[in-house]
Order: sequence, then structure tokens, then C-alpha cells
Amino acid sequence: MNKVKKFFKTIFLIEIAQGMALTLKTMLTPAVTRQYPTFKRKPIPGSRGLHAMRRDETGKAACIGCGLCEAVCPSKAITVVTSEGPEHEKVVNSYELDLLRCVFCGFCIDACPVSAILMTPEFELACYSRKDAFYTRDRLVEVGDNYMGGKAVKK
Amino acid sequence: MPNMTVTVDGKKIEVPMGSTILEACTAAGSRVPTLCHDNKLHPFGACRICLVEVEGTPRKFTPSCTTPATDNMVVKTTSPGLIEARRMVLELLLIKHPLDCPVCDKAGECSLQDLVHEYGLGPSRFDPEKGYLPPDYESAIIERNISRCILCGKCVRICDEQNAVGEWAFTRRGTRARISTDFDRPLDCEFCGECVEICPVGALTTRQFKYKARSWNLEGTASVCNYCGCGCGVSYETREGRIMRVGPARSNYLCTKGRFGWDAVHHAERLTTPKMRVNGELVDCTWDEALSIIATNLKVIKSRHGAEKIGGLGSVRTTNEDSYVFQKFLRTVVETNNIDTLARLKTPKGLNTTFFSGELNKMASHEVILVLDKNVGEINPLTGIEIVRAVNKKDRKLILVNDEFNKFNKIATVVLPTSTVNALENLVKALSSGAGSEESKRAAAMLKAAKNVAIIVPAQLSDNEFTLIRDLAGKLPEVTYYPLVRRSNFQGSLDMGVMPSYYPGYRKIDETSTADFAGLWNAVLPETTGMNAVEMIKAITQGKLAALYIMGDDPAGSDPGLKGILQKLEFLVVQDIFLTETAKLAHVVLPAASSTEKSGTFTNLERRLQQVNKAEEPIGESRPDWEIIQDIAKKMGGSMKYGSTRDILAEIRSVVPAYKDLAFGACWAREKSPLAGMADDLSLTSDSIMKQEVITAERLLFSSGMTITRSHEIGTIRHYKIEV
Amino acid sequence: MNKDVSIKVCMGTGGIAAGGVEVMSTFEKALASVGIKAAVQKNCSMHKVGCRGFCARDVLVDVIIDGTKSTYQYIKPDMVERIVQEHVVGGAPIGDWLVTDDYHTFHDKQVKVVLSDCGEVDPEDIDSYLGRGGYEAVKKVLTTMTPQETIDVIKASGLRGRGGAGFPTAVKWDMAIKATGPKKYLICNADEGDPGAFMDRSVVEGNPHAVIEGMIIGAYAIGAPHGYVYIRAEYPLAVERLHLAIKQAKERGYLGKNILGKGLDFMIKVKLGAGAFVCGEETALIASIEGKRGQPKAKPPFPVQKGLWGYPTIINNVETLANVPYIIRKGASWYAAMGTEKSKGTKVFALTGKILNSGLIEVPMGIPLKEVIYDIGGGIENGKKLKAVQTGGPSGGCIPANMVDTTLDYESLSKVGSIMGSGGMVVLDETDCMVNVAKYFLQFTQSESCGKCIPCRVGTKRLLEILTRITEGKGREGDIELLESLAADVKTSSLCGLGQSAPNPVLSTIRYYRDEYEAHIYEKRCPAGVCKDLLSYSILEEFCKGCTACTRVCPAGAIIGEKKKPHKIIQDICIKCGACFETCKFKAIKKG
Repeated sequence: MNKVKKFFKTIFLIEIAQGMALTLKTMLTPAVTRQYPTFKRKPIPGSRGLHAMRRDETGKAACIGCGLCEAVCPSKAITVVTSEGPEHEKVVNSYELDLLRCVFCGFCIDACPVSAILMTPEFELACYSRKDAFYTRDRLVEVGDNYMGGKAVKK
Repeated sequence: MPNMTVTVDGKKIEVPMGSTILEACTAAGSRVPTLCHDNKLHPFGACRICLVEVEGTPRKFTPSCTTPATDNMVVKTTSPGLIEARRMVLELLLIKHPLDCPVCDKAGECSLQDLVHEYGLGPSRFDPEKGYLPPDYESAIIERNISRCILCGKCVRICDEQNAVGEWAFTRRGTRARISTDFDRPLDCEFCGECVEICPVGALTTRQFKYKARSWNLEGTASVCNYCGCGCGVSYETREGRIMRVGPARSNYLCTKGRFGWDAVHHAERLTTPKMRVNGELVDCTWDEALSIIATNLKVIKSRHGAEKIGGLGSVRTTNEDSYVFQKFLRTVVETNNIDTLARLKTPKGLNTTFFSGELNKMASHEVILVLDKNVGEINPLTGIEIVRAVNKKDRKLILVNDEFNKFNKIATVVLPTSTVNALENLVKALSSGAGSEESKRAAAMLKAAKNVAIIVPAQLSDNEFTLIRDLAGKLPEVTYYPLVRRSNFQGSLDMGVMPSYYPGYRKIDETSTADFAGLWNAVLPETTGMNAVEMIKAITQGKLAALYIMGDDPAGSDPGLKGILQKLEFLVVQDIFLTETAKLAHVVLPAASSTEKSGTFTNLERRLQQVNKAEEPIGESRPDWEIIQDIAKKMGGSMKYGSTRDILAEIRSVVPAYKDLAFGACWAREKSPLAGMADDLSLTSDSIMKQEVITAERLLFSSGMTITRSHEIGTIRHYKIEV
Repeated sequence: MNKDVSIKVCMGTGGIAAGGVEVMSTFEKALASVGIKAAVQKNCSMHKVGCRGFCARDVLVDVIIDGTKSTYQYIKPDMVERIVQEHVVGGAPIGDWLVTDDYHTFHDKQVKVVLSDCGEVDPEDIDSYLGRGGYEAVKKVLTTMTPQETIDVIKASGLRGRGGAGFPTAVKWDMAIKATGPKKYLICNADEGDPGAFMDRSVVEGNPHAVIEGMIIGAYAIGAPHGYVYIRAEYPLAVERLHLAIKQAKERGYLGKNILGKGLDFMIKVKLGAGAFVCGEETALIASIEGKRGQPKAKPPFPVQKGLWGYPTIINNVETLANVPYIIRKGASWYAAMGTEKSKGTKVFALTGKILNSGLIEVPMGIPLKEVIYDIGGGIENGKKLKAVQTGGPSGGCIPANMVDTTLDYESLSKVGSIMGSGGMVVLDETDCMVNVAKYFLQFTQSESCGKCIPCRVGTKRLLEILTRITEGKGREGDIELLESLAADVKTSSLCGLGQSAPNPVLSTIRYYRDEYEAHIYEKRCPAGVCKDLLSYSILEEFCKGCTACTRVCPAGAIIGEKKKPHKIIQDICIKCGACFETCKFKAIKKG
């Protein structure tokens, strides 16, 4: 029975006709592929891209230096160094994020008790040197400012 | 002691009579949470979180830390009711406890945090009442954050029960209760930091560690404190290879020097490069230059004046390996026996011949403790702590000789308010004839009735005192001596033979021993014994000593009078971690690695072999002492080929019988020393040098030695004056 | 009785507060000025005596002429002259000023043991006590009995600790006699801290020698050469009289070395407490004597094993010790005949609250509560209805009116959720709000918590906070359950008796008056009309006659209205003092 079916299919080129029909259909529908970087897709809300740091009410970087992001980071991309300030407050001496190590899991954002570290949807992170992938606190704050201010996120 | 059977969570175990329920639970492997309990302290029973259920008792829950277990007791450590009660306690605590964990230095090792996490507390049923009380920044090095306090009273009790200082106390009542000092003034105590260590929450913190790192960043390296003869085990806690803070290890106690004084090794003035004298000025140079100069000069002086005109002063702060290599270098390469340490001037007469120290943790096994040196707590803090522990925990009797007043007066059974020599005379008289003052008679009666007695031997003894102690001991059945030893590895330096007339292992230098060691070391050894430290100093003035190699000591700093004498030397090499007063006079200065930066072993006053482990990389170009000396030896044609301190220790074990099978952490037996019971005196006396302590203007505890004066934290304490 | 004129003036703290000192001195002056001795040809003497319990009627004065006693009440100095003239000299008592019948009913139902000499002996004169058989018990014990026999007598009498817990005294002493140690201590606990309780105070003020005698017997029984009386510094009169009594007893050879030549050494030191309620707890009391912070320690070890300065220590309450000489004198069977099977003897209560005859009473154990309230106490004030009786002070609970048949003994009191305690008894009537009562006691325990253990330190504070919230009308759903659960935890987890019993007032009021709590929380209404924040006063127009009486008494000026026309209360100004409510004769003011 099967043999008979196959025979007729071969004779009448049914499969080829089907294939050609599909090709024809697709030819007439608009293309899905975008011509990146000429055309860019808008990231979905909540997508995890470049980190940013929020400012607190006084305008300083909001990080309080608790080191929880550092502790939770699975790829050890974050280093926080703190010390005591003149008013006995905790001062964050440096906050460093090594994007080359980052896996964009977003754990740091979950861990932050004051929501100081955030993630922007920025995903174009290619750079020409390792140094550029090394984000200090000031750079992160700048990213945050740009993001909040609606400007292009990346410098 | 007979045992009893206790069933904990269905598991039957045997515990000694008198154990508490908590101890039984721990022995059975059931963890019972606690907040106010610590094994070092008497049970307190304040936190009520260690509740358990005991079958057949009228009360629903029993506090396990305070209640003694009884035979055939059946205990349950968890049940829904217990969990409910514990949760309630935690919930009540959190009403007031500030939730500043993200910036609290205790986070990560906070008992409250751990328990809240374990018991999974959700939103509180009570309205929060976060009363913010400003932290106390007035005290030196220790900060008090009253808002975080849960009033477990551990600080109050450890300061009283273990330290006999009693700086902390509760004030006020009820919800307004808090811990405080007298009239809430800043701290004025020994600053040992035990209260900080024991605080289960972040109410007491140190300024040294403040905001430096989070507890989970730290990695511990077990090592030994380098400040006094006690040699307390420490744990250097490092972050990325740099020490952040220090915690106690074996002895479960650290004094202020051990806990806070380590920061001297981070001092900005540490020597980082070798220096040599060019046109009268010390200038930086390379290692190769420095070592070549030393080798050449020593060779020239040796050939010109003879080896007996070269001497070496060893250190009591360096490791056994360093000392061993140092004396071996001088004996086999320089071929002189002029080897000594100046610390022998500050040693009790009869140490290592008459006075072999007992083990400190066995202090409490003695019925009576006789303290002949009132400064015991300042010279050897751990010895002092063991005395307090023996008195407070085991109810031992304490006879204190003290013509002043200090913390030991508070716990002493009898105080003899006179000088050591007078007290000894009175005691001997009272023991033999029954005559004397009321106190002497009471003390003598106590000594006579005791099965065994511990005698704390002063750090320095006159001949008269020495004889009197031996007389006294002769009248007592069993005596254990606890000599006070100031310098950290003094015992080790003696064991390693850093002495002019003894080889390592106290082998007296004579023909047979010289032949033995010549064979062991495969070298030619000088035939005569050398000059001791006092003789060497004298020889310099007389022009009989041309070159001196000083490793890790600062004679000119300890006795400014020596400055002029040392300047007369033709060639002076100083190897140290700082540019000391002595180093400033040297022709070549070599930067050594500190004890946190190298490995090796120490032998403390108990003759306990302890492992020193490297916690940090040596600063700058500094190197461990033995490596430096080995390189000089190589340049001078010697045949030292040690790859690591392990190789050296292996050789020490083969040369010194006492160290042969000595495990780390064990004390070598006095029988292993050829000097045991002999009349030899390993101490030195001099009426001209090192007469007085230079830096005794302040408390001995905060200023004993040159290194401690370079500690920032200890300096803070020393310069801090309390205004009430 | 002496065939003379003897005048006894009540000079307890209550008597002195009512003017006893002035009355006494006026009597002395009057007696001296008239030359009474000459007039009546008799020996006249003045005596101060301790409290006889009926402090409400102070100053009470007994005039005894040839053994005939007439008692006057409410005496003021200006009345003395007439008494002296008419009664002492004239021989005719002044009928109007004599005590009324209820004075006698107050006393008749009572059985006095501990208080039997209070009000009779002069507390500042040992001879007065000796004259009534004082120190006979010491003589008897020292001459005829061994320590063990002494304990056996106490055991047979069934005496139990009167401090609250009711632990058998003989068992305690037995443990002490067996405890070995170079020293032993006997401490008399006179740190009476319960609000409204003054039993121990009255005994020490009225008859300090009985306490001392009890202590000597106790010391003999357990072999303790040192005794302490730990007494509150707030009792200056008691302290003064105690010091005086110790001095006198020492002079007569009842204290010191070789007492009565029988080889017993015993000396008493008086230690003043600094007003901490928690120092009534044994271990805290010991810490306080040792000079440490007055906070309790965990038991075991019990004081009898390791107490003061580490030596075996027995701590007995004042009342317990004051019972001892009477038991020894009159025999164990006499004492055991009173009371119930398990609770023997008598108990002193401080009867206060909304009761007609408030004062100090001593009743046999097992007496029904209603006899105390209605017969001795004379019923409720102002003809109101009984609501509940609170016993045991801040550690006790409430007995509701329908359980007024409950007998007063350790067992039945604990069965109804209250305790005997040290003997405080507060009578509450229908105008008392039970939430407020619980709040009152919690306020006390909360401020007296030492702060050592967490459940008591924080738990009582939260209990109080919730109760306050409820009385302020801010109660939330679930508050009763929260109270119950927190109270249960504080009770089971606390370290000492203070914390373990602090929630009792809350638990027992919730148990019997849950509806009142619910009314506060859900209806925002205080049924008894006590909680101010839940109250509002309004004028019922149909009853208001416009008499303006309320306008005149209103301190806030919140009532307005013209004469003869219905008035109105402005709610924003009203401070809810209730003055208008009290004043209105026409019941036109509505409360609620």
C-alpha cells in the first residue's frame, strides 16, 4: 500500500509542489530578520542588560556598601571596598563590576537591600579594550543618570 | 566522676555527673540554640531560647543551659511548642533590634541573624519600636552600639568572670536596662576585646575592623601571636591576602596585643628594601649588593682579625627555624661561638633548669595558686586569664603578693601586701615555724593543706628570691612552676642553641659535643665557647669585637647607652622589620618578613611547639630571616640548602632530641633536656646594660617591646585619656 | 488586765498618717495638765500600739479603765480634751464617738494569730511583748527541744510559706538542716512590694518582736548563726522599730552570743532594699544583700543549696516567721486545727478596693470568700454589685462574682486561676473595667521587671502596649489571641516568678471577661465606663431640667445651655471627667 502511495507521490511531484508553495508564501510575507545595527529591536521590559547605579536623595551613589551583591555574585564579578568615614558612616571606597565576568543573572539586583544597583535593558556591550568592560562606581552612576534621564545609556 | 544516662531526642548518651542539660544535648549531637550561653561563662539563663522539654517536670519548658541534667532524664530539644516559644523570643527581640544588618560588621556571624533565619520569622505581629540610641564613639578602639544590644550579658560576664576587670555592667531596669560602664564613661580597661568577640550581635564592635570587610569575605590562617611568651593561637583573617582582623584560636583568649597589636606589621615605616651605608648615609640597594657586601666584609674581618672577633645577636621574635639557621651560620660558616640573645637579661634565674613551666590550661588543676609577680596579667596576659579562670570557675584559692592594687586583688583569697622577697621570707618562716603576720599564716596554712600548688615565678629574680622559692617549694608536696616569659619565642631561641656555650638542645659545648655536631653538620666548629651578650658588648668597647650581626633585636632602642658602643664596630649588620635605632647605626640593613608573612614554628613558654603560618606576602622586598642568612652563607661558601622551613624543622628534629617526635601543639617533656635539674643558669645579669625598661612610662601591657609601640591601635589606647 | 487607766493610740503608719502623733501628744498634755492622776486616783499610762487592721477608721484610740475597754474612732486632737474630761475623769464614754457595731463584726469573724498582739503590744517596748508571753517560745525551744523536734512541731502544724508559693516551711528547714557548709544564713523577707499590700509592714510595725522570735527559733532549728532581715527602705517606721526591737532583744539576751545561756549564737542584721519589687524574689534578694544588681538567678541551685555568699540559705516571709512563736507556744495541733486539710492556720489579707471596711484582716484558711467580703468587709461600697475579687497582687488573678463561694486556701485559689500570693485582696465592683485592671497590674510588673530575661523584659512591655491600645479604643482584631499567645509564652519562658506570673492578671481577666475585651475591641465601648477614650457623655433632653448644675461643675466649660432648657455637651471640649454625671440629680447625663 505504502509503495503505491509513494509511487503516485513521485509521479505527480506533490512534495515539490508543496515546497514551492511554501517558498512562494514566504516570499510574499515581510521579512522577520532585522538589519541590525541599522534596525534595532526594542528590548522587552525587564530584560537584563548593563548595570547602573541609582543616586539617593542627596544625589550621592545609593550604594551603602553592604557587599551582598559581591557575596551573591556567582561569577565573582563585583568587588566592594569600604571604610569608615569622618562621621563614622560607612563609606564605599570603590565599587567595581567586571562585565567580562558577569553572567547577567541579576542576583545582585535581587540582593541589594536599597535597590542601588539596577539593570538597564542596554545590551550593546562590545568594547575595544578590557578596561572598558571594567565598570567603576562613577561609570555605573553615569549609566544610571543617562538611563533615568532617557538619554542613550552607553557612553 | 561517675556518669549518668540522659536520653536526648531518643538518643541515649552517657554524660558526667553535674553536666547541664545543654551539655548533654550537645554531647548527643542535638543542637539547642543559645544567645546568652558560652562555655567560658557561668550559666546565666537570660535569653530563654535554649528551652527544652523534659519529661516528668511540672514546668512545660526547662532552660537547658542552667538546669543540671539528672540520671535517666528524657529530653526533647524540638517540638512545635518549643519552636513557637523560641520564635516568640526572637520576635520580641526584633521589635527593638535595628535591622541595619547590611552595614553592621557582625552580619554573617551574628547569632541573632542566624537564628532569625533558621526559625524563619515573617512579618512581626507587634509594632516595631526602633529606639535609636547614638553609638558610643568615645572609647578607644571599641565601639558600643547600644541599639543593637540584646542584653545577653555576655560582655558583662566575660569581663568579670574571665578577666576579673568588670568594666561592663548592667544599668537601669526592665526595658530601659542596658550595658554600661561606670557612669557611662568611655572604656578604661585592658582593651582585650573579649567582649567584642563574645557579643552575639553587633552591639560591640572594633574600630580596627569597622567597615573593612564583611565576615564572609574573610579567610582564616591559623598562626601564633608574636607578642609574649604565651604564644596564643591566633587566626589571621585575611581578605585578598591582607589581614583585616585577628581572632583567637587554641587558648580561646586574646589580649589587646594579640587581637589589635598585629597592625604594627602594616606600619608605613616597615623596611621594604635592603639599605647600605654610602658616605655615612643609609641608601636603598639591591639584595645582591647588600648580601655581597656582608659576605665580603665578614670574610675580610674573619681573615684579618679571626672569627672570634665576629659576633651575632639573635632574636627572640623570630621562628625556631630562623634561630637555628642563624646559629648554624655563625658556628659553621663564620666559625664563632659568639652567639647570644639580649633577652636573656630579662629572664628568671633558673628557667629551663629549675623552672620548667607547667601547661597553662592545667592551671585550674592546682588547689592553690601562688602569684609572686603582681604584673602577671600585663607580662603574660594568658597566664593571668588562666589564674582568673581557675579561681572563678573552679573555686581555686589564690595567694597574691602585691604591694599595690590590681585586678587580682579582687579575686585573691589572701593578699600579701609586700614585696616578693619579703613575702617569700614570711611564707617560708610561717611554713617552718608558724610565726608571722595573720596573712602569712593564713597563706601558709592554705599552702600546707593543698595537694598541689602552682607558683607564678616572676619574670626577673634575684639570687635571694630564687633560693627562697626553692626553699618554699621544698616544703610543699607538689609544685608546678609557671615562669613569666616576656618575649614570644624566647624558649625556642634557647632550644635552638642561640647561646655561646650550648649547642641546640642544650648540649654543653665540649669536646664530645663539638665532635658530634661537627659530624652532624659536616663542618669545622670552633673549639672554644663564645662570648655572651654582655661580654660581647664589653668586647666592643675594648676593641675585641669588630663585626656584629644582629637579627631581629634593637639593643640601642632598649638601652640608648649602647648607641655609642655599637658605633665603634667596624661592621654592623642589622636585619629587622623596622628601621630601628640600632638599624640606623648599621652598615647594612636587611628587611625581614614579619611573623605574619612567613611560616615556621614557635616554642612558647610552656615548651609547646606551634606552627606559624604565612597569612600575607612579605611586604616590599622583605624576606624571611632564614632565607637571607642562607643566601649570605652561600655567598661565604657555606653549604646550606634548605628549600623550605620544613627542611629546617626536619634537621632540628634530628639534632634536638626534645623535638624528635614532638607533634605540633604538644609540649616537650622536661626530661628531654640535659639541663633538667642542673644548676646551670641561663639568665644573664649585667649592671651596665639594659638596666631599665625604656618605655615603661605607660602600662606595661600596652608598651612592652618595640613592635607594639608601632601598632596604631595600641597607640590609640596609650594616648587616650579619659575625662570624666 | 491592769486596774488602771491605760490609753492605747494606734500608731501604725495608717494611724500616724491620720494624725496619731498629734493625738498622742494631746493626750499626754491633757493628762499632765489636768492632773488626772490626782483626779482619778489611778495610774495613767499612754501606749502606742501597732495597726489593728481597721485603718479606715484611724485614729483609733482605746481607753481602758480598770480593764474595761472602750474604743474610739476617727479621733482628732481637738476631741481629746472632751474624752479626757468626760470619760477618763467623768467615767462616762462618749457614745457618739465610740466605734460602731461594724467595727466589732469586722473583728469577730477574724481569727488572729499573727496579728493577735498587733494593736495590743507597744512595738517599741519589749516588756509589753514579754508581758503577753513573748519570747516564751524561744525559752521553750532552747530548753526543751532539739532542732529536729522544733522542725517536727512546725511540720505537724502544717505551716506553709506565706510569701505566696505556699512551700511547706518544715520541708524547707529540713533541707537546710541537711545542707552542709561552714555557714548558714536565715533571711527574713520583708520586701513587701505588691501594690496595696501591707501585711508584713503591719506585723513588723505592730509586733517586731514576734518576727525576731520566729527568726531565733528558725535559726536554732536550722543551725544558722547569721540572720538578715531584708526590708524595704520605704517602710521607715518598720525599719526604725525593727532596729529598736533588735537592740532591746540583744540587751535582754535574746540575740547575740550564747542566747539565754543555752549556747545558741544568733545575730540579725537589717538590710534595706532599694525599692525593687523583683528583690522579693529569693535569688534577687540574695544578690541584693551581696551588693550585686538585684536580678534573679536560675534555680537550681536553690538558695538552700547555694545561697547568700554561696552558703546554704533559708528565706522565710515575715508572716511565716511571725507564726512560728505562736505555734511553738500553743502547740502544733492548735494551729493545725485551723484551716483546711492542705492549708493550715490563718492568713492575713489586705482587704482593699470597693469594700466598705477596708483594712488588714486575718482569717482561717478555707474561709469562703463571701464571708470575707460581706461579713468582715461589710459588703460593697455605695451599695454597688460585686464584680470580682483580685487576689495575689500583680501575680494573681481575678475571681468573678459568681465564684464568690470559693474558699480561701492555696489549692482552691489556684484552681480558679488565681493565687494566694502574699495576701493582697482587691474588691472590684461593677464600675471597674477588667481590661483596665489587667492594664494596671501589667503597668506595675512591666516597670518592675529587672530586664534580665527577654520574655519578661520585652513580653510584659508588649502585653501592656496591647492592653493600652485596647483601652484607648485602638484594639485590633486578633489582639485577644495575641495577648493569650504572648501571655502563655511569657509565663512558660520567663526566668523568675515575676515574669512567670506577670501575665496572670491578663489571662484570668480574659478567661472570665472575654466579652469585655471584645466590647472594647469590636464595639469600641467600655462596658464599665472606665476607659476614657471609649467614653462619651451626652445629655438626654427629655430628662434635663436645665438646672445648670452640670454647667457649674464642668471644669472644661463643655456644657452649654440656657436656664430651664435642655443643655448640651460639646464633645470636642469634654474631657470626660464625669463630674456632670455625678452631679446630675435627674439622671439626664448618659454615659457610654
